[in-house]
Amino acid sequence: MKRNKKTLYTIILILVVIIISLSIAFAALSTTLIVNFASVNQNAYTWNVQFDTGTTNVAPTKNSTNQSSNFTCDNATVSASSVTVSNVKLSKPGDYCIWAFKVDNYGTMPAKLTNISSSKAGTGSCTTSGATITCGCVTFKLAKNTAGSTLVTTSNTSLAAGSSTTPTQLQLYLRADYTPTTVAQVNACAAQTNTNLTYTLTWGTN
Amino acid sequence: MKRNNKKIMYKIIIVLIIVSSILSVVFAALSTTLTVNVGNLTQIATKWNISVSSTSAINNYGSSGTGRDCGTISTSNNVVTVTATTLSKPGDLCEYSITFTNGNSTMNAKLDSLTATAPSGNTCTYTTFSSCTSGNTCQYKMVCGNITYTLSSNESGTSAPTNLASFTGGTTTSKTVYLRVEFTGSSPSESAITQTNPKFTVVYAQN
Repeated sequence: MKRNKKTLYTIILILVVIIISLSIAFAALSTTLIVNFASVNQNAYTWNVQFDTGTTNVAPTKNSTNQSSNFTCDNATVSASSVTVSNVKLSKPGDYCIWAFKVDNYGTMPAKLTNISSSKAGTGSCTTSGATITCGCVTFKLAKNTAGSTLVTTSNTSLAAGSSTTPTQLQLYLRADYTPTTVAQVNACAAQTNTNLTYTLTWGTN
Repeated sequence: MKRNNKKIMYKIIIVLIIVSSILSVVFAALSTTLTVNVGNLTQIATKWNISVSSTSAINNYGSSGTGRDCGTISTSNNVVTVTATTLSKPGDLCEYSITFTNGNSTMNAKLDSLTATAPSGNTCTYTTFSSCTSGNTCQYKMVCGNITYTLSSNESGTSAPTNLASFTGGTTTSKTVYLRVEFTGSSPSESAITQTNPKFTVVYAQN
């Protein structure tokens, strides 16, 4: 038994010596690498994209020959975050309304349109697709020109950086048209009321 | 080893979740949502129905025994057709009434143009009036050789059809004009002459 104990102690001693030796050897074969930033700077940027509120009551351009009781193009009310038109009533070929408004970039970062969506929350039946809302015989377009041919898309809409005093501006147009052109198309248009049509424009960093 | 791998994997997932959460917060802070809203859109059920409602042969002068034949007049799909007509001597005349009706149109309508078209191969002179849309042709009389064609508001053919100038939407209204074709030359022709397809084209537009 005494011999066995001696043998055990000897083995433990040898193992301790080996471990210490390995540790020293590992330390000798190790390297510490340091990646060091001299400094990390933050530039001063501001973010402020909004509707231009220079004119808060925007009168539309409209078909001047159709000023009957069945033709209504209310003025648009503009706030920093929304453009609202209360009532639109169209009834004949050639009827149209165009509202012009601007988006301002008061921020010092360039901005781009990251998403455009359209919806109808209220009554009626409409189809929506990006910058186009079609409700029966009336079509709304959110466009970059008065004719409504250049629709607003995420790929063609951005704003350069502005400043807190001098914003960069983007001119946009909301256009509503009565679209039928033939007698058959006109006579097929049923009366209908659609409520709460909305375009949502999301702007993000460019 | 497997336990260590799992621990490392869990740590990576936790780090990624934290990073993406931070990025989401940053993105939200640099995003702006603007809305364009139309509260109420109203479409009116509009109807357009202006048509030729009736036609009739009403007068003729000159003996049929000496080459006056007024044919017949009819209408289909807003096209009025007078069959072959023969006028051979001064004073021969055929006259027809044509009634235009604004049926259930809800829109006001205006006379946009009235165009007289010469018979094939003929040169004619025209008389105009001013009830049409500014800048558009507004002809009611056409003289082609010995024959005069007139669309008039009176049976004697002396007045321009100014009664056609407009229709008021929402009310059923009819307006009658008189189509005259008359031999107005001073003497018969020594050889047979055929004038092919003279016509008047009446265009109404919304007002």
